[in-house]
Amino acid sequence: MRPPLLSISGLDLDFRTRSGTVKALEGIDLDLARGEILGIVGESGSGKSVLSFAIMGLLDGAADLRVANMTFGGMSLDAGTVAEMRGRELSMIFQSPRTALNPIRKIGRQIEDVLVRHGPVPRRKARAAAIAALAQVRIPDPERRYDAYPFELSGGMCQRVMIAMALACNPTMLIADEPTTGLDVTTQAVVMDLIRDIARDRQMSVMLITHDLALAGEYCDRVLVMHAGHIVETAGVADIAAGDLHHPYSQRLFAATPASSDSLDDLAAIPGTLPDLRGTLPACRYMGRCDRARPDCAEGPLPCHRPSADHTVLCRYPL
Amino acid sequence: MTAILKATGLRKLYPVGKMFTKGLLHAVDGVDLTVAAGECIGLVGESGCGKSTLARLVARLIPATDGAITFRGNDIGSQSLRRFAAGPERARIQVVFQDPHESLNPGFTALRIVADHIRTLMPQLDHGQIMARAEAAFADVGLPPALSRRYPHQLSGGQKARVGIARAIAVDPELLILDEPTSALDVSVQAVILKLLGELRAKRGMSYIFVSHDLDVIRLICDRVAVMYLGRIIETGTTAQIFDTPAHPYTRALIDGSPDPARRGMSVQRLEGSASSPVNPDPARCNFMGRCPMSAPLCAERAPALKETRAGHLAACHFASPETAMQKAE
Repeated sequence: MRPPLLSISGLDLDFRTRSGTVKALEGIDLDLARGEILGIVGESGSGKSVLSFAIMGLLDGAADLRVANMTFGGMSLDAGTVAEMRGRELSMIFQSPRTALNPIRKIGRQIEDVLVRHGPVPRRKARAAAIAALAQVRIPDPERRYDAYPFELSGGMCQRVMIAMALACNPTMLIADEPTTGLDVTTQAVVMDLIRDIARDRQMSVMLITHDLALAGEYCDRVLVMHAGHIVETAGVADIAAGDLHHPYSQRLFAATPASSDSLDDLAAIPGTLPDLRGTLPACRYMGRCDRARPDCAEGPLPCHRPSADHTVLCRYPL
Repeated sequence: MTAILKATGLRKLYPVGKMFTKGLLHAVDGVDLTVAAGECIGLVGESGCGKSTLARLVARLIPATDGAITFRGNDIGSQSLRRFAAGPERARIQVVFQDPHESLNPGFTALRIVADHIRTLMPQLDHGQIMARAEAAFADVGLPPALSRRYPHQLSGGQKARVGIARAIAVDPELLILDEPTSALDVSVQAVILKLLGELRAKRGMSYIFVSHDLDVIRLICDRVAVMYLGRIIETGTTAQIFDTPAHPYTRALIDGSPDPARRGMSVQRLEGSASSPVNPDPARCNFMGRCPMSAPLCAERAPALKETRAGHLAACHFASPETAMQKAE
């Protein structure tokens, strides 16, 4: 097997706040292969977005990031190198295109800015390159759209502009943080098809952050399930689609997704809420919500089960 | 089944532009809608298709340009909004709004939000009865009494959604209009609220008009579905008819567009572009033309009327014959 593009092991992240230390991420290990689409799913507050910020080096001053090993394309990824790679090698699509775009600058100019800042494109050639980037995300009539302001475009169009901007410098890895939240189903399908096709054509790796298991099942190759700052399960897409999940939380999350239920009776809620991440936490952070929990779940380290080669479950009493 | 609400020829036009660009935006353009007692009907479509406007018209929150609305045989459509708000039907038709954060008064406690609503709509009750009613509503939506003294900012998203539902059901409505009640909620909370809504309907025998853009949610909770496009209902039928044998190409595109792991890796024909402008639409052509995969000369000559393809299943498409619907099913 070829070495993965991105490899992280032993990542811990704390935030120092006035009311105590928030243990946002703990013991994160993940590998992302070239050309792979990796889904990261979980409830809000499970640490999906903050993980992507940690990789991109976009954390604020209160963050205390400790990493045993983080490499990207064989090189160690730290604060200095990530700033160099950002925009060129590593790129990101943010959740809300309306707030991520500059409202008083033409979209074409905004794409040019990215090209000039990160790429080897001189300003005089940037216009043509920006129009090419718009055409590539299948925006109709890109020459005319170059002069549009964000408010003149629909939500789906703005999201395509964000994608064009993220892909302008041919990154090897793209982090898409809920790229389709707030879009209609038809637009969502078009945007997701686009990301998938570009990933396939350029062998670009994608980290897709979503709370929708059905969406992850349709577009990802592998899916990580996160809960309260832990990766509780990693599974290939076939297992996800079939609902062959072994961690009690992933199983509950699957049952709570309307797409995987046949009737309202099938739909099951996840009891309880995410634990407070301040103070001391048991080894298994799902313990308080789990109906299979036993006292020794509080004792670490938790064993890692492997139902199949690409499937890992962090649980003492897996299903 | 007896119809409790009947709307016919409902239209809502908004004047837009000025001087030479003047026009009328057809937000809701000639809609008939019937809701039977105890029934849950889903309104689905892309944003801007007029589903929320239709819900607001039926709830008598905004005045209609044209059309009639009757509730239990009483003509409520011709009353002024002010008279309707003071009349007895206001309590019978209640609304649960989309965003639980925005629709609760931040200066009131949860209990007062619900009690104030009862006091306004049921002026005959004394203080003790109002409080008893509010507490009963809290119990019905599964909110612990301890939370009733809290302000909205002290409640989670799911709890706020419950307060919004408690407020609506506290006055014993017969028709509950739910405008995207779960779209602002997390998956796990959405599941809880959907189940709660299902239980409340079974327990109280209310009818629902459920507005959503999420087809999976509609499939789970609704008996009947109306699909809207550019202010019109373009297909309606039972949930099974709509999802198993969609007759209109737009409905098919909507269903194909919602994510499904079973369609992984397949190249599905997607709807490109966006809907044509709702300002001054051409009445003589099908308004889905241009995005539709089966555009034909006939579509530019005549707008298709909503006609029956099978019992209870209506579609507004020249090519939605029962045969094509059957072929699709096979």
